[in-house]
Amino acid sequence: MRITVITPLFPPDVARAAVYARELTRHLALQADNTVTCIHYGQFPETVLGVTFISIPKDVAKIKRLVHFGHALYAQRHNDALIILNGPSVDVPTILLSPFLPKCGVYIESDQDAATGSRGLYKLIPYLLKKRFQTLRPSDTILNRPIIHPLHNYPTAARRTYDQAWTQHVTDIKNLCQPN
Amino acid sequence: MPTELNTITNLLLEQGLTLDSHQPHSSGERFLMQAMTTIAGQKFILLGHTTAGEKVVIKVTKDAAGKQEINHERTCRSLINTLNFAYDVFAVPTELLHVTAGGYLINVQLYIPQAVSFLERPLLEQFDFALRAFTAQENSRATTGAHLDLIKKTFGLMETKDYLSTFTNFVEANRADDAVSPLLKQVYQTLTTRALRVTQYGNFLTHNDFVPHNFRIKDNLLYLLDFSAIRFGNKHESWARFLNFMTLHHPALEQAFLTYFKSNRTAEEYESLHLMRLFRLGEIITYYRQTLPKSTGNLHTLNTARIMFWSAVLAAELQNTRVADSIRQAYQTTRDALRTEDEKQRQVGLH
Repeated sequence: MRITVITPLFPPDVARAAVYARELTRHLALQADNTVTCIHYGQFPETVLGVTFISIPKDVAKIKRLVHFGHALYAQRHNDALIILNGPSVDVPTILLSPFLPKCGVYIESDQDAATGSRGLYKLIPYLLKKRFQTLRPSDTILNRPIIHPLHNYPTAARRTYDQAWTQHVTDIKNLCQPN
Repeated sequence: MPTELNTITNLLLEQGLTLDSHQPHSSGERFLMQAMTTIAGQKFILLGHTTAGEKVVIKVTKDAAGKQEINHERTCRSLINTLNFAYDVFAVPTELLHVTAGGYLINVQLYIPQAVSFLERPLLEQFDFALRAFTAQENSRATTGAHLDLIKKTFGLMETKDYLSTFTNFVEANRADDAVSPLLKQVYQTLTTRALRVTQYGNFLTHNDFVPHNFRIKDNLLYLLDFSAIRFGNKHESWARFLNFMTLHHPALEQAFLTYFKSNRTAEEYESLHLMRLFRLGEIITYYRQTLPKSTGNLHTLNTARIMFWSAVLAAELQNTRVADSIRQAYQTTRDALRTEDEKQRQVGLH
């Protein structure tokens, strides 16, 4: 399956949603039948084996970045599935281009601050995206990777739970991505 | 200096401030200390009391660069927690007075008492406090053009080209030293070939002197004392300074952080940290190199020993290994034998 992941944040960005984006692309790329392309804002993303990155620099005017992002997204329109990680800078070009985008898509609310913080007219965009695509909200277990503390015992149980949650999460995404 | 201190004492009395009889920050090697990569002005750092009996820290200077440094630090202190992309990074000591009198700029802040110094705390507490401080810094990154415009003028921004050009100054300053010069040239080569890694983790909030004598812990809050060293740059600049410091003062804490990094961060981050440690080691070697013409006798011998020690640390870091305990212990013995009584006194409870 040819999958496009689009995200406002990706490490070196440090937000939880950025770490989630990296983990998601990594898990998707681990599956032999997947080809993963990630469009993200920023430059020089941390490498993820098997993932092709398209970087949209942020140090230009907002409208210019949105146009660059939209252009890159449009070029991916023939891929099999689209995974949208929420945030205004991704939501806006996605809704504008939605008629051209793959039918199979999942809108993931990984940035819960952005999801709850939207106001006014902007609230409408996530609403429309949720109507257009399947929707998923990652659990706290997925979003909070257990820290391996050098002065405590290895968090074996927490890591196991985390890994199992991810396996289930990727399966859920895959099921939602299947063509009707 | 005593005459100047008398003048300052009188000026402070007019402001309702009394100086303590013991002034730990004005003795020992303090006179040699000038930061290399910040404004680097000269100033007195004094302890005193208000008429209400509150203990205070007083920064006083008539030096133009010193005034600039105090004003810059004040701006950073007031702005840091108001940036729209930085959240509650550091607790800030309360400012009581900022005034010009008799040609001197005087800044007075409430003293932050701490029950025990950072290095006297258990290893686990040290680790957790420091990790919290570093992750708070990491959460502030200037990514958009608007962010960069906001921070460039106030805090300053170190980009990869700035790290490289600064390092050429380090190479130049140590050119005559046959032992150190090849090491620094090797570091420069390494930084140049891996410049992308430095850029990758750029534009983060950093504090380029984040070591225990620049912060105090009270009621579980970490108060930053020196805001003049805040700038935006590579994410691992603060980490690098801290870990290099711990190489000498607390290797177990250094080791804990290296383990943390290997277990929780990517290989790319670890490489960036390594490059920043090399950069900061070049800086400290050059710092001591520049003190040599200003020092004599035991202090000159000590500063030469410091250059040799930090060069050994640098040589080890270049190989991604740690300096041998025997080298560290030998240096500590030399240092303790050569330090003046004043300096030994100044060091008590400092870290």
